[in-house]
Amino acid sequence: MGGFIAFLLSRATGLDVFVLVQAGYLILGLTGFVIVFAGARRDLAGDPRRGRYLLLFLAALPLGLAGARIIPIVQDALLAGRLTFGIVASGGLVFYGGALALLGALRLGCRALGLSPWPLLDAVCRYAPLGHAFGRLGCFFGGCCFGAVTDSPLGIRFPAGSPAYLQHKLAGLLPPNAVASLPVHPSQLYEALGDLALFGLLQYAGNRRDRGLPPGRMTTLYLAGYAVLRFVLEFWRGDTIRGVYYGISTSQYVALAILAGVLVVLLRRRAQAQ
Amino acid sequence: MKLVLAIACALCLTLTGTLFAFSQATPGESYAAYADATRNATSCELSSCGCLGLRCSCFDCGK
Repeated sequence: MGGFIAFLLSRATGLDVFVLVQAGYLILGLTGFVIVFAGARRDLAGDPRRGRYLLLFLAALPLGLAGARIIPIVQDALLAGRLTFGIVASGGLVFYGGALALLGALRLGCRALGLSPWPLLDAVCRYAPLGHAFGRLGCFFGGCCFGAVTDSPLGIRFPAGSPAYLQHKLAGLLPPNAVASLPVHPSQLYEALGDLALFGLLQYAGNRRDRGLPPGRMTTLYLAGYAVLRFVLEFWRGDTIRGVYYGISTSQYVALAILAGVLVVLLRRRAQAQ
Repeated sequence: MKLVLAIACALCLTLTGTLFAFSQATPGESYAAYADATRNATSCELSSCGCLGLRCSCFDCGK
C-alpha cells in the first residue's frame, strides 16, 4: 500500500517512489523503537543502574537485528540453493527472531554485568506492544505480512508490484490485465489493534497498586500474551513467504514453544513457592 | 508520560483507521494509473525484500 501512497506523493513532490516507501517504513519503525526506549527509560527512573541498563539495551539492538535476519536468510538460501552476499545483505526481518534475540542478549548482558535482568526486561516488554503496533503500520505501508484472500467487507486490495499482487499473480489467481491484488484481510492492521489491546492489558497489570507485579512477571505476561495473539492472527495471514509447515506457520510454532516455556516457568515458580 | 502514551495510542489508532479507509476508498482507476506508471519497472525497483516487499531482491535481481 505504501508503494501506491508513495506514488501519489511522488507525483506531488517529485521525489523518488522507492525513497518515499523506504522513508515511510523507516519512520514508522523508528517511531516504535523510540516509544519502547522512552517507555523503558521512564520505568527505570530512580533506579541507580538505569544508565547501564539503557546502554545495554542500545548495545543489544544489533544482536536483535541479526536475530530478525537469520530466519529470512535461511529461508532464502534454501530456496535459492546457495548462500550469496545478496541474500545476507538484503531481505526482510522476522519479528519473533529479533525479539527473542534481543531479550536473550539483554538477559546475558545483565548477567555479565552482574545486574538483575528483570527491571530492564520488564520495562522493555511493557512498552513493546505499543512500539510493535507502529511497526505493523509500517508493514501495511510496505505491503508485507499481508492477509489471506477474503470476500468480507474488510478486504482490501494491494496495488500492482506489491507482494500480495505478485504472489497472487504467480499463483495464477489474477487476470493478465489486473491492476491490483485480490481482496485480502488487512492482517497488519489486525495485529496493530491486537498489539494496542495487549499494551492496554499490560498497562493495567503494571499499574495495579494493590499487589504489584513480581520481577519477571511483566516479561512473562508479554511473551504469553503476544504468543496467543500471534498464534490466532496467523490464521488470517496469507503471505507464503513466512513459511507454513503442516498447516501451521513458523511463527505459530514459535508461539507454541513460547507458551510451553512460559507454562514451565510458571509451574516451576509455583513448585518453588510451595 | 500517561499523556504521551495516550497520544501515541490515539495516533496509532488514527493511522490504522486512515490507512484502512484510504485502502477501501481508493478507486480502481488510481490503481490502473499506478500500474501503468510502474509497468516497465522491475519488481526490484518497486520494493525490496521481506518487510518492504519481495523475495526477488535476494536472488532474482542478481545481487
